[in-house]
Amino acid sequence: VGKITKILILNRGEIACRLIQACQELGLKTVALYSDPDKGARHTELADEAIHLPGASPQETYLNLEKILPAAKALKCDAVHPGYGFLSERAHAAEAFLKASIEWVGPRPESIRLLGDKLEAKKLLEQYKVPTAPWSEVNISDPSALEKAAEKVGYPLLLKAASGGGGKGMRLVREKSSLLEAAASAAREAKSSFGDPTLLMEKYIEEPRHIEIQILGDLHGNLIHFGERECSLQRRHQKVLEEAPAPNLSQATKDKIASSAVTLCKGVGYASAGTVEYLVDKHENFYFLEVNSRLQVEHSVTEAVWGIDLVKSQLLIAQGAKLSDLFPHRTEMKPRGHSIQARIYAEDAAQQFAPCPGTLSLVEWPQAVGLRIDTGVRSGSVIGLDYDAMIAKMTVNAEDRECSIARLLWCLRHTVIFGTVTNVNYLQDILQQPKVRAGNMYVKFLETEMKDWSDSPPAELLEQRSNLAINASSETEGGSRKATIPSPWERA
Amino acid sequence: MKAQKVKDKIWVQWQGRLYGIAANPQSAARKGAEEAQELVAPFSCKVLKIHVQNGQAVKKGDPIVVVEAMKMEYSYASPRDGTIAKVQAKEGEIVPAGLQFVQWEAK
Repeated sequence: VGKITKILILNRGEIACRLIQACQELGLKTVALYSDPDKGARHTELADEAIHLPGASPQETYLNLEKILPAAKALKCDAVHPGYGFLSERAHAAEAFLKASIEWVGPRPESIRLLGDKLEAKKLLEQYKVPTAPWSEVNISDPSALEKAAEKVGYPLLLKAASGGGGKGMRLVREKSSLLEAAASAAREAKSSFGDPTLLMEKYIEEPRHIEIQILGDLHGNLIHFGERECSLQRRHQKVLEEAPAPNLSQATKDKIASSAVTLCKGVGYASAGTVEYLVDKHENFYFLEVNSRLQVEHSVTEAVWGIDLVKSQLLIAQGAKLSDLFPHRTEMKPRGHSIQARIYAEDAAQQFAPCPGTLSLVEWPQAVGLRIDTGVRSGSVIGLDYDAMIAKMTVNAEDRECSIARLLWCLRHTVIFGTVTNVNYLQDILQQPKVRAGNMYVKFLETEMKDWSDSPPAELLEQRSNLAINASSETEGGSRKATIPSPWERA
Repeated sequence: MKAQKVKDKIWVQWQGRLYGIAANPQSAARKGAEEAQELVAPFSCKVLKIHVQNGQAVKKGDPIVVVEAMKMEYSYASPRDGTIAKVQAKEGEIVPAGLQFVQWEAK
């Protein structure tokens, strides 16, 4: 810990750009990294220097510690910010940089390791009395013991393969009569999928919401929170729309969840920014999900309503700043208004969210009150398949939730992204759903209620196709440089 | 309204929504899904499962192929009724974008 002068930005895309801005505002020099496909990308132009990492795959480039570490040393970087994804939650990476006297702007490697280990984390939860869904080990060879354990956990319950994921070996059991058969078949599936028939059972939480708490700790053992975010709107376990504060959740529950997050993270001596995730049921019971030991994609909504800059705070904390100096009036601070973030992806929401790589022939963002765009691309940029297909994050804030939704809709309707299919129309339709407008979302909302979403060009537009072509050709100057790859279904 | 023609496609912002439509209505009609001759990999991916074989009759909506890209699985169903003339891809193979998974017999 000491003064930082030059910082390595260990990431790409929108988050690299966002990190560079915070560093430069604090007067720090920045060093960017770029792979072959990222040559000339926005983040490399913003940074003071840039290091080329030959290749395209994450393994050859942004995960390639053997190349990155010596380069950072050679350029005399005294700190590194990992952003999210890539090496951000790899304890060994944090250790390697710290060993080379390069400060890791993030939690200590011991915290990353401790919170990342499922069994260790379970012990911690007990120690710090963090609520978790009731669970039990499963012994299928003893039916009466199994039934007793199930009674204790409570129905409905979920049987899960102990050594697997992805829904394989998983069974939802609603009543005692189907327990034994479900356990036998789940164990068979677990054995064939993972080579291990061991199961565990867990209380099934009906229609849960995803609520998470933003925490911030310093290197002197102090830790505070900046409220909650509601992130229930997800597809394929990835968040699509996130907001703060959470609608339809009592202040008493919000306070309880936040205080459990603070107790847990303070207990393990967590420093820097982090997130504790929970599932919350209809009765506002909450259950621990996991800790993300890094800055999160959706940190922007917290920044908007609390009026803070989490990345700048991280950078100051890494240089030894105390929370009491950064936020002397924390107890008087309250979230103001409402903020929503939409993740704009190059993907086809009508075709299983398949990525839609291609050249963005035109990108135009609206100019609006209360709008923040985080992006690493512009007209002419290529969305490839080597990395995440996210084009941008669009964050709005307004005086309340209703105004915030109206503002985000307005901004999406004034966004132009040409050259590939995006989820811009899908995002608009999500925001029009009555349950979303009423703040009644749950984790499987998009999966169940938007399952059959499709989007065809209106007949009126197709009728005018030939007129459009005439108009359009005058606007193509400097358009696409590379051919887009049409999905086989786009012809429909 | 804003529009831009790129190759054989027109990208349009129409009443606040974004669309990519075929520039030439004739070719669009000719190549409609009902008449598709082949199923093409939309992006580079790994073939996990092929549900059909040469000469097999399929109905619209029948599963054809399951692929994996970016650690996610995508399954593709038949856009039409017809008979499979040729299966090009092999299970386990990594295929480039544009490769034909299967071809149908001409109607």
